[in-house]
Amino acid sequence: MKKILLDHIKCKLCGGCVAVCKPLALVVRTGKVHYSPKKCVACYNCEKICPQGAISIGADDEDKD
Amino acid sequence: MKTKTDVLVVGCGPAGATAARYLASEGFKVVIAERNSAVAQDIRCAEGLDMPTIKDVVGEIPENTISCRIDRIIIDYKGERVRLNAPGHGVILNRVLFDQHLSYLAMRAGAELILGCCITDLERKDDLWRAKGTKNGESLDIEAKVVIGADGPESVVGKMAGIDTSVLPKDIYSCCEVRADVSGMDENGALLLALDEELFTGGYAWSFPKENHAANIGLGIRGDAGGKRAFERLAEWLSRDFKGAGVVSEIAGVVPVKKMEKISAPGVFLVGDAARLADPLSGGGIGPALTSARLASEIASKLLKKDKLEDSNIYDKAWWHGEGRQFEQRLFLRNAYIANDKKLLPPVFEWAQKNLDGKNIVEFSADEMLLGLIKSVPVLFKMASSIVPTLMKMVFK
Repeated sequence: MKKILLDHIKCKLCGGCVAVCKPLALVVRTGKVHYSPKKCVACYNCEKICPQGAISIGADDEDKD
Repeated sequence: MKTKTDVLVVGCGPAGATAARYLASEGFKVVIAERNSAVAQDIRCAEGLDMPTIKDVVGEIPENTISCRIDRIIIDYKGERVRLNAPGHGVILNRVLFDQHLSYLAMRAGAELILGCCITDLERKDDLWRAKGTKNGESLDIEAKVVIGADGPESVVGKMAGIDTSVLPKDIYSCCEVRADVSGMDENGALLLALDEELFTGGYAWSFPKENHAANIGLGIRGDAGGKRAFERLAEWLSRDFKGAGVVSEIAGVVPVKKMEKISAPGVFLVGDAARLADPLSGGGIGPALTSARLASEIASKLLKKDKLEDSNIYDKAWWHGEGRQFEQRLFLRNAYIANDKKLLPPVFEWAQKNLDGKNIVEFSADEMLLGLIKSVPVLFKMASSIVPTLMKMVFK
């Protein structure tokens, strides 16, 4: 599964990625978006809707998990 | 720290503060958990609202919470413009002062506001909700009979309480906005709505006037638009139509718009953006936030008094049969527009140039306008004949 990568400098905390994330893999806490790869179902809807282009899809890391 | 309360409100925006004020004034113990260390700390909003809704839900508000009153509207299509006079109900708020005002009202009614309090877990036990959270790094336990989820587009209350509030990219507007100086420009003091099916795919762009010759200039596109990101499109529009406008702030935001299957669970009520209730056509979220918060708290109050919180889904029914009734129709119209924008926009704009330019909005009713439009724009006539039966079914079902 490819994880997502968050660019916290580009992120403006709009919360869009959290709104499209069904399994609560993304949450906003203490002024930052937090990502739990274990909960992620790899739908990448967060990458699609991010107004800032702050989310990208990482390299395949199936072997490492 | 452990706290017991009747009502826990998560989020102190317009919806949360309104629900808290209402329930506290009914005599219930109310705790508001606000994630940020200040109310109105991260406003992501174009700030437009109509006075009747404010008067209805909030009452009189201090003059300084209104940033600008609308009396002119400009409709823009790819740089061409139609101008309308529209003295009346629209205002652009100062959301910082407006939200603070609503919070003061809630606290005067007896609600307790905890700042910097992040709710991280919700669990139902013995007919009570147990919320876990943190405040300044220390853990916090709050036991409540009722939880009001007013935690905005990034809401987690619903998901933690077992209500799936996630939306698909097609159900969300991806938005960016700047605050800029428009002194000396046509937009100064006017409300501008701009359409362009390529640049603002599935959505629109706006310039909402603020005090001191400033404006909120932004755009929202469909989440599944693809291509350029909202911030890139906004930069493109700014360099095309707002050359020289000094920008003092940049924000990003989203507007989720979907009719959710459920906006309540036993003892849990979702309000405002947390319930995805923004207007499907305008994207306006403050109005539905205020009215849904009022309805949810009225119902929560009754159920608390009768000890019947298992019937919380009364709220769903009351909303979709009451104030939420137009939502479905407007969502349908929005989808019809999205499917036909390329065919629709040029002839409709041409009609507007001929029939609306320079007029006062009170000169014609919405029905007259719609009829005139349908008669003179053949594409619309065809669309209308296929849409009307579906709309009728929605209205009369």
